Amino acid sequence: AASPAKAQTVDFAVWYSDRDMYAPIMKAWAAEVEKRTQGRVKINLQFSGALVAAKDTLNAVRSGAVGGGTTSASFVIGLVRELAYVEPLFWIPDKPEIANKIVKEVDAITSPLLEKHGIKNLFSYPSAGLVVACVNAPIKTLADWKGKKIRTAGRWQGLQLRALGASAVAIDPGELYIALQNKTVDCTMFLSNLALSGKIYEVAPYITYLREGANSSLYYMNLDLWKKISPEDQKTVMEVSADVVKNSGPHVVAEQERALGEMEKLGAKVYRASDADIAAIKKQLAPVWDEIAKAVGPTGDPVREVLKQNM
Amino acid sequence: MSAFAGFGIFLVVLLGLFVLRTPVGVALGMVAVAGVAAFVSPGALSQLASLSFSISSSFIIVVVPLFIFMGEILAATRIGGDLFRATELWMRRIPGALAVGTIWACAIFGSVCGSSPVTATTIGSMAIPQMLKRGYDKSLALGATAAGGTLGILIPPSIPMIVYGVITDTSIGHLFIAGIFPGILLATLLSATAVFTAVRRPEMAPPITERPTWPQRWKALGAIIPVLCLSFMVIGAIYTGLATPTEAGAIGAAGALLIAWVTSQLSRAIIMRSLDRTIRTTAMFLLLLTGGFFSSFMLSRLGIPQATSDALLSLPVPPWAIMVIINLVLLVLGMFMDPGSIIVIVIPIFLKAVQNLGYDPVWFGIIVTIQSEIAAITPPVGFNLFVLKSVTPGANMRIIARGSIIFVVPMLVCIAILTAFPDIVMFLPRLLLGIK
Amino acid sequence: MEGPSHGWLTGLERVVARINRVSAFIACILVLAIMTLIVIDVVVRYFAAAPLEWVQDSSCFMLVFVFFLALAPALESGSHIEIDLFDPLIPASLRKAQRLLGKAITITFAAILLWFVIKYYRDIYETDELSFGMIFVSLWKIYWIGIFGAFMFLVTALVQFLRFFLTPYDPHAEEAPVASH
Ligand code: NA
Ligand code: NA
Repeated sequence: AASPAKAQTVDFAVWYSDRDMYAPIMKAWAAEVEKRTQGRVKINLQFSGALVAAKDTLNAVRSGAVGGGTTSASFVIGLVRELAYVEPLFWIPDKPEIANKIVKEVDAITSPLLEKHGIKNLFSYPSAGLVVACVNAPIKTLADWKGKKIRTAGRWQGLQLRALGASAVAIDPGELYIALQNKTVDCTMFLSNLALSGKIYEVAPYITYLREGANSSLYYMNLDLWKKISPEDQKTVMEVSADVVKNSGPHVVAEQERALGEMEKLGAKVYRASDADIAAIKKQLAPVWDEIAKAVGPTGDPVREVLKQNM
Repeated sequence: MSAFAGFGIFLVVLLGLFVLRTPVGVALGMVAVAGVAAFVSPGALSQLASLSFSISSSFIIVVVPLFIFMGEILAATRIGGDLFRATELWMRRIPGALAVGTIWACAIFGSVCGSSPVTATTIGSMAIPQMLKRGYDKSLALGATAAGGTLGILIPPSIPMIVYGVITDTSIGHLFIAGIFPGILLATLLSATAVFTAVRRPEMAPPITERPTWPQRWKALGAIIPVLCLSFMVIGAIYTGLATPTEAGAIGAAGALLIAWVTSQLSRAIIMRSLDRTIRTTAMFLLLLTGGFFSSFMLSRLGIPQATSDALLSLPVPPWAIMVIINLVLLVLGMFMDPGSIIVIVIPIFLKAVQNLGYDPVWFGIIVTIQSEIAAITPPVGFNLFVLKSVTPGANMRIIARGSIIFVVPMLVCIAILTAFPDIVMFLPRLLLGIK
Repeated sequence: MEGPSHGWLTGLERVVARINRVSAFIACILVLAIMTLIVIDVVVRYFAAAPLEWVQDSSCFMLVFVFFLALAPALESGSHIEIDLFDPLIPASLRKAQRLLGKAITITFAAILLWFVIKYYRDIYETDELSFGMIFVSLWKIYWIGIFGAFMFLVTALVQFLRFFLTPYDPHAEEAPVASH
């Protein structure tokens, strides 16, 4: 018989602000968890990196300094190499059902790996579609990528840009606006909703909507804390989590469209990449996946297989 | 335990450790260690190690040693003296000319140095003896230097602004450019204070009687051209897109070396001495940040920033009155804490409320920087007072504090003006950087 | 000042001072290297549109070295700001105890830091955690400097404590610390 469950409060570190498009989803998730466990599990969301910075979140959760948190896959690759496949551009299709299916299958492979490191993966969220926002001219064809200095996050995205003939520049998000304004870089890879909230369109008005996403986000908890939750409540948390991912796909797609429309109204020139555009880019990027495979090793093959079958 | 009680206990314990002469960074770290172990969990202490690596491996922080190095190299050259000589020759007809000259020499040196004590000592080591020789009152001479030195952190580059930017995720480039007008405004207000003092009590600042020749004046002016070039280079590098603010630090340091070399003032000894001071200050600074961030983490885990924000916003007063309250709290804390600790500990607590009131974080960054300037010249804990005491033979804290305290007034006036007319802060960033 | 019976302490001080001097020197060279690399990166990016992708990451790693290498030298030279303004409030007879307590707290902090740095290091070694950014490096190949830095910080704090303890206290002999930031 399960011991009488003690109420657990999970201080949950979120790097984005409570005005972000994911925030209402997260708030609904936390409320639902609390309701359905009758207050035995309480998720205390702390937005805007108030608790820990994004790059410290994983370690803070592992050590128990913070109960739970979320980061993009980039910040987890250092610990779980197999997640390297989840960082690159163009692997999250713009159809929510398929994106959710891939993410769920990847989770099934990587969650046990995370557990070995003291992390309980609650769910992963496929990111919204990417835009590439440029200062001077839009990127439409393959040739447009050539010679551009593009800000991106992470090593694998950098390699992909190189495969497209561009060069990758790492710039702190806080300095991105000025860097674009002053043409330190020509373009930035960004999420459409963040391009709106970060006012990126003001300085980089040529926005190409690439539709597909990159770098899914993981939502996780400290494993010891997780084990203090009764098995029934654990089950409830996982159910609520699965629902939140399933149900909010349309919300994210709608929000993205809204962001693009808003930016257009504010003077941005939005170009929506066609199926042919995306196919051409993907073909160019194929060799990078082999490079990732070389770096990750055979333990990553199952993840790669999932992506291959669905992309 | 209420949030305010928790924060109060935190401050009292911190002050207790200061009394024991525990280094400030260690004191911040120890309070957090105790708090985290008692109220969070002993396991969470591992955050201390994690922070010590993540802070020191952050690219924005790389700029800190670079700007410190730039200031140290220039401080080791004749440039400080040249600056004072030029302002002294050109402003000699103004009442309190030497004090006014000191303030503007500090303002110009501040455009190439990001630290307030370094600015105060560099200009002060030349200006203070000159003022005393010509019969200036000791407290006016020291006070004007202490206050003028603080312009080093309002006029870009500025180390405290970097810290503010890192903590609040505000663009350092925006903060730098936003500091230019308020810096000139404050230099003017400080000068007015010096003039006012000299007019009211002429015995404190005897007029200059000797008359420099025009060639002397032009020569003095020529000597400051390299500094102005460097200053334009650093801000220009950011503005033209040659570099991010972080990289401008490296360009500035290299430029300082170049100036020192071209004017034949560079030697291996100077480089090594400047580097040595740079790394020690950097280590001090990063330890302060590590301890501060850890304290801040503890306070967040205890929900104190949120509670403070809620409490402030629930007050039945208009937004500007809340800003007055926040400024008063900063003023009092600034008497007892160093600017670094205030920014790391207190700002996260207030930022949320300030933003909810509709103020721009860049604007608040400038207000906070001016509060840091006040903190640097108010007793009992004021770093510009400390450094001037250590470079001026026979000066005691009472005299320095008496002289500098009158300069708190123009600083508060400056805050009031910027609160009434926020556009003074936001105008340049909007004009140059096109933010809406 | 020191009695002949404390020769062991003098010897220890000399060793610690020498190690700190070497550490500080290496940190100085690293600051120069950071500056040079970033300037080269800026120039190359501007004129050749070919950014050096590894410069940011390696500057960050060098800063980790600068921090930990300079931590103990800064303590040795009194560069970590401390506040002496409350001293007059303490009766002269208690001032030695006050200072010793302050130094003991520094030792405690250094020990806690060292302990958790070692723990952290063991963890990144066992998991072979990689850096993130443009270059991939096993963090344990770089972060060992943390153990060295925290250890020297502890030893330097200990030596300072012992020297202060064994030296007769003269309330007038002390200089105000110089802050510089
Ligand atoms: Na400055
Ligand atoms: Na003060």
